[in-house]
Amino acid sequence: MRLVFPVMGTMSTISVPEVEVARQGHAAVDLVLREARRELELLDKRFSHYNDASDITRWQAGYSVGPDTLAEIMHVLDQCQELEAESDGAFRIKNPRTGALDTAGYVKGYAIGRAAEVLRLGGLTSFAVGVGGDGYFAGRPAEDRRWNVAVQHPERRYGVAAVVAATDAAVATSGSAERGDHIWPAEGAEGTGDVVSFTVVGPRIALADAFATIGFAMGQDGMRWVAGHEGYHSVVVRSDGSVRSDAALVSAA
Amino acid sequence: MAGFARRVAPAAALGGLAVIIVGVADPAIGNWRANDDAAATEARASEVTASEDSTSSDATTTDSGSGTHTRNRGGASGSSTSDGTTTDSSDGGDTTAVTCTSGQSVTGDSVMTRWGPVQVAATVDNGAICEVHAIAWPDSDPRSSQINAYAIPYLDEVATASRGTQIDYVSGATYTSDAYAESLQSILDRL
Repeated sequence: MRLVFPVMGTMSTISVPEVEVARQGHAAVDLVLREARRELELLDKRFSHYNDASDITRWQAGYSVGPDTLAEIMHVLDQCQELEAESDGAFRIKNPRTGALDTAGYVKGYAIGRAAEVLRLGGLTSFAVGVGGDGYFAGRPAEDRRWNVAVQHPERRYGVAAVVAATDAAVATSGSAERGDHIWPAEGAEGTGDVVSFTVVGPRIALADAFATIGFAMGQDGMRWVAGHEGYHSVVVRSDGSVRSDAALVSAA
Repeated sequence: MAGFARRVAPAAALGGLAVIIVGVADPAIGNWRANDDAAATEARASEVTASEDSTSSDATTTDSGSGTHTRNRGGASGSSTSDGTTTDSSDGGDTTAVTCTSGQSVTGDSVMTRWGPVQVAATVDNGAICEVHAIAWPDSDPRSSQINAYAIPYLDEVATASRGTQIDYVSGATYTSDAYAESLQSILDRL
């Protein structure tokens, strides 16, 4: 069963394998999918910097937003600050051009993680939830295989750079081809080198998404930085067409 | 970094950093497996190529002027490497062509995105998809137009090449890929 809908300025897809639908029942899965969609839409409204009525915009303007919302805003800001400190500024909580608070680089991954949590709480063990090219993949789509996540080759028009076979794993990609502009070179780094896209595979989508942003900003040093976090691996595509990865790789043959 | 994954010692990180050059442009790739402990993840190098004339949107697109790009394709002349084949595409001369000699064209559902509808059609032969191509996508705002000029031929190729290996998701792709997948799924559901 699939649910496809627009959210956060992009599209989201939630897929549940037929075996899981058969196990849980069509109506039950349908309800859980709608709950997950509601969660994504709620977080979009809560953290949109483009919407004057969003909670974070209202909070910045000095309005009261209530304890639950405030707690979540503080959590997201904490995480962004930790990421900024740990990445030596490759990840920024404020847009360096405008100085405005910008949590968008973290919130998409965070929201996918929350949606995945809703799906798990709803009793699902196998599902895929993706927003705009980043996703979390739980369980298996069929008994005999893992979720096949193609890593887009950002420069070759017809290229699949690699296929990640994921189970209970997040896959997130940053690169010049994606929509959005939350990527700035790290302090002292020479641009992004010849890295054209940076994919991170790991247990948590919020971190995988942020790490992909950081790894891309770090360029040549990104892969080593990501490898310093247990369970997280990179797939790096370079402008010469080569693909490097420290994840367990199996050739297509 | 309480909320983050436990950091491993730098030496251990370097020791475990089995950097493999997958070299998708290298035809001499063989079977190999990295000595990595990531049980949850595997990645497979795979390269797809296409002959320019079968997927060039420049040659086959027409602007309907309505904010949606549409195109009509003649025969089923799609080509790509079969799944699992790594080819050297650097000179464009080593492409394995898979030609759909017969088959019927099936049109998927039109899927609405916030920028406009996305719709794909597939050539189907004996219940199997030979080739997939988008027939409509949003083209109204410059950003969508720019992205889709890149994304649509790419998605066509992924969808066509992955008919042997089910691709569940594309990481790094744009919003279009989800609508594309949804339209394609409506075709798969009918096979």
